[in-house]
Amino acid sequence: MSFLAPLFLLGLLGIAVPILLHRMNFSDPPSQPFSSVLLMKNSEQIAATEKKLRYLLLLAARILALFLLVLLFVQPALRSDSPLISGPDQQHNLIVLDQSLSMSVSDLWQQALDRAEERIDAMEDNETAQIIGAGADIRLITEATADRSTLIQGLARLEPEYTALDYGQVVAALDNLAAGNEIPTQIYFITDAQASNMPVRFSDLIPRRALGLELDQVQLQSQAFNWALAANYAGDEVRANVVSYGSPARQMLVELFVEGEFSASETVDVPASGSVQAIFQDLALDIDESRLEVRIDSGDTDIFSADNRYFLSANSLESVEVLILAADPSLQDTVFMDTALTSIAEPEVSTNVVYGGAGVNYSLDDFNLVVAMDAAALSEAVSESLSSYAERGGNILAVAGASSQNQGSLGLTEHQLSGSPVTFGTSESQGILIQRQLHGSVSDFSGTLNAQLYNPSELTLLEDDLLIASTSEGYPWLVEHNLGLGRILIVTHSLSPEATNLSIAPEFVPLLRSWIKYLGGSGELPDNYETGEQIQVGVNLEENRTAPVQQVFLPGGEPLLSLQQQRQIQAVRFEAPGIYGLQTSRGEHLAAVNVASAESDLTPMAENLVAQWRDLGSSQERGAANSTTAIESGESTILKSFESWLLPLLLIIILIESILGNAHLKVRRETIA
Amino acid sequence: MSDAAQLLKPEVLQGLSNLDLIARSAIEGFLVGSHRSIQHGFSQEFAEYRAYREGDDLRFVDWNVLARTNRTYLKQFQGETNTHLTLLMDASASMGYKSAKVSKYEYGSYLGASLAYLAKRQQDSIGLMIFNDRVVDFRPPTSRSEALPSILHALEGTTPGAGTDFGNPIRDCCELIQKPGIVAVISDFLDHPEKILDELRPLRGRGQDVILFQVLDPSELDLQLDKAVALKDMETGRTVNVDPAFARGEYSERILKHIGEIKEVADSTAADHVVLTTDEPLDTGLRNYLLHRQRRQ
Repeated sequence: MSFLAPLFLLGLLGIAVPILLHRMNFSDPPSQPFSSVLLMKNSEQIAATEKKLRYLLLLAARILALFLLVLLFVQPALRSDSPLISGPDQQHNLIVLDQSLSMSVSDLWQQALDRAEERIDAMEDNETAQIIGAGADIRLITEATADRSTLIQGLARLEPEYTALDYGQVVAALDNLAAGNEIPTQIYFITDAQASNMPVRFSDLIPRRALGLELDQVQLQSQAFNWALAANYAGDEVRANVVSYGSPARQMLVELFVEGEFSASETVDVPASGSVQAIFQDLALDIDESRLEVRIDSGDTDIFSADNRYFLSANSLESVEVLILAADPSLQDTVFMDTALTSIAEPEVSTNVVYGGAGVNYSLDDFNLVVAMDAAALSEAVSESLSSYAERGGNILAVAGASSQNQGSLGLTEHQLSGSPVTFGTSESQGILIQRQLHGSVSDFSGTLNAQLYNPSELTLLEDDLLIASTSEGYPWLVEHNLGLGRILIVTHSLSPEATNLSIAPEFVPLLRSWIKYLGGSGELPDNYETGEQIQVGVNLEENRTAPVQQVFLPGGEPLLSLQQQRQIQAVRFEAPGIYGLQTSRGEHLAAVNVASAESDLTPMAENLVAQWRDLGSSQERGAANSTTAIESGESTILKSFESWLLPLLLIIILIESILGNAHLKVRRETIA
Repeated sequence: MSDAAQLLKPEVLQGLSNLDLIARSAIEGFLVGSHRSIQHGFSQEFAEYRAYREGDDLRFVDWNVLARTNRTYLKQFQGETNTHLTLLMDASASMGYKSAKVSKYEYGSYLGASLAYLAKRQQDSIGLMIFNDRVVDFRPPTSRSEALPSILHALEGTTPGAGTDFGNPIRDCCELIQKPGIVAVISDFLDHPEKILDELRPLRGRGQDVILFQVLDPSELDLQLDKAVALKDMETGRTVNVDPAFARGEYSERILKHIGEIKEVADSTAADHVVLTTDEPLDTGLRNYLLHRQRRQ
């Protein structure tokens, strides 16, 4: 019996707790003399015995539950004779090469190929093997074969990928492969055993069903230096962080490129095994300047150059098509809205105003954004189509108006507005207070907007509503409500001059611009990815609402998916760093893809951990020299894990404990009563 | 409640200095509070005439009346002769149990002393046997004047202890008391009814009129427990854990059933059975006793 995490055995001390508690609780009841217990014999003796027995069972259940819990953490594994091997039976080998990016460093990959070839050459007559690549996926490069040339040819098809590994997931996948084989299967894993690729639980490194795992670690021959770069773009500045991994201090040039053209540079002093930041401020990017790249020149001593470039995307909207739906042509706030929207310089906004809604031929999906003026006054059919539009992913700016106040409801959503206007306090000037300064719709504003509101109505917030701005007295003014895949920004107050002076305030157009950028942008998609990550793709939004990306453009601009693939493929993996274009229903979104940060730290696992992995992973109690003898003499063992039935057993014990505990509590309650 | 009746309350009697005074107070109080007719119980005086019915003993026909009126009447007497009253006092450990001020043994002593005093007033012979699992003390029935103080002294000087065995004392009683009389057994009768029946049967066979005074503590009839307790048998030392729910429910049924079975035992041996609790006045027991005696006469 082995324990994969023996330190957790200390948890067994916890068993003392229920024992102590039971000793405290389970004292005999107070004794008192009585004339005769003649009439009490039998039944209450049995009851007392039953109670005591039940109590002891409860204690036993608790101790057992704790014991099983500790066992779960300790992860016992039993070495037992493998029933699969006897005599000169066949053995199958999974020769697995770590394809993570770190394997591209120096000569690690060549070492791995050499080791694999050595293993292939050492195959006995009763052995078969297949080549497997452990990269972004676990890929079977060859079929199971005893033909050495086929296997060696398979090696040629492998190369390191821009991806990071989780060794636990790799071992689990390989273990499943091994379990599917009829003949005993040995895993032969060639890797650099990078510490940053360790799983959370060490025990995940141990195969359960395979014959065993033989670890072959490839290592750098000399001391290696690596500097890596990470950056982010926010506001008008780029912050680049240069990290030294076990490398000496040195001066380094950090350069910024915009759309492939050099933009700025800064020289920084990178400390030994530390980091330093370079900041590029006041970038003032043009509308067509969205692709940023930061580079460092770390010289020849940097053995891993893939992490010396970092890509950033500055997504911006070039133009926004807005549909303004208004029920009443006489409403002034529609005119104000239309005028303000068209006066926005960036992004360029083009508007279509439709009055009444019903009977007018338009398609909501043609617009990036819909503005519903006096939303409650829109017809029921229009409201329904707007709801459907939002659920599909469309975004709406809904402005309450006179009708909304009169009807007490917003119409488009289930929000209720108070029938009578809210009476303000004595203060004449009621501003608009930004409650969430970090929210995208008001990110350019803070504090109080210089505007006056007259007789605003009160909106009852629904669950999951986000209050973005309120009146000075705390009444909701700007609220975000999610409907399906779409977002609705609700302005609880009319924008007509009778109701507010905001429409003519200098802040109105910038505020609208924030809303347009927030609602018209493709905010569902992140700007940054790592190589190896996947995104969902799909053409038909109706059928696949969670896949807003319809096409992926590679960093060079070529489309990744053919029309046929757009219909068939559901996910795409970023296989190399660069800036990808993601075509969505609202335009193109730029995704900056960078190398997996876990790969930059080339530090291998500690020697004792590698030794432990080798020891526990190796199923056969033999050295390489006498392997044949050991197999023929049937001395092979296999690790059997109890994990698969420990957890169900623990759940059963907990269930029993609950039942007994409830029964005991019931007795106690009756006793107290 | 009158002063006389107040005197019969066990907790009041307990405050008196000795058993003689207790018995005297109890009986005097009882007599004052009772109708005169009841005290005829032990007298041998003429009581009344009644019309002759077929089957009546012709020896009791009043021939003088028949001669004068040509009607046949029978003379009825309250008793034929002076009788013996023998008290069989249970002094087992269970009789020492009390949930309030007065233990069952103390209450039984008051009752026994009162009965002895009452009998002595009627010039009856009085005797006493105190027993537990053996005969602890025996005072043979006598009509001598020192009989009463002797009995009271014996009652006072005994402390309850040991187990209960009706067999030995009743066997001794049968051997030592040859003349028929009244035997009053004062006990809690917390034993198996069949066993008690077997042990009482010889007594009745000797022509003794038997009265069973079953003295119980109120808590034995209505056992109220706040929480589960371990009840320790005062005679056997055995401990039983008892839940309040059981005490409220099944135990109450069991004790009533047990009392019913003792009553059946009494009926099957033509004995009287009087249940007394230590919180009720003595006159209940005395009155019951005398009423039963009157019916028997």
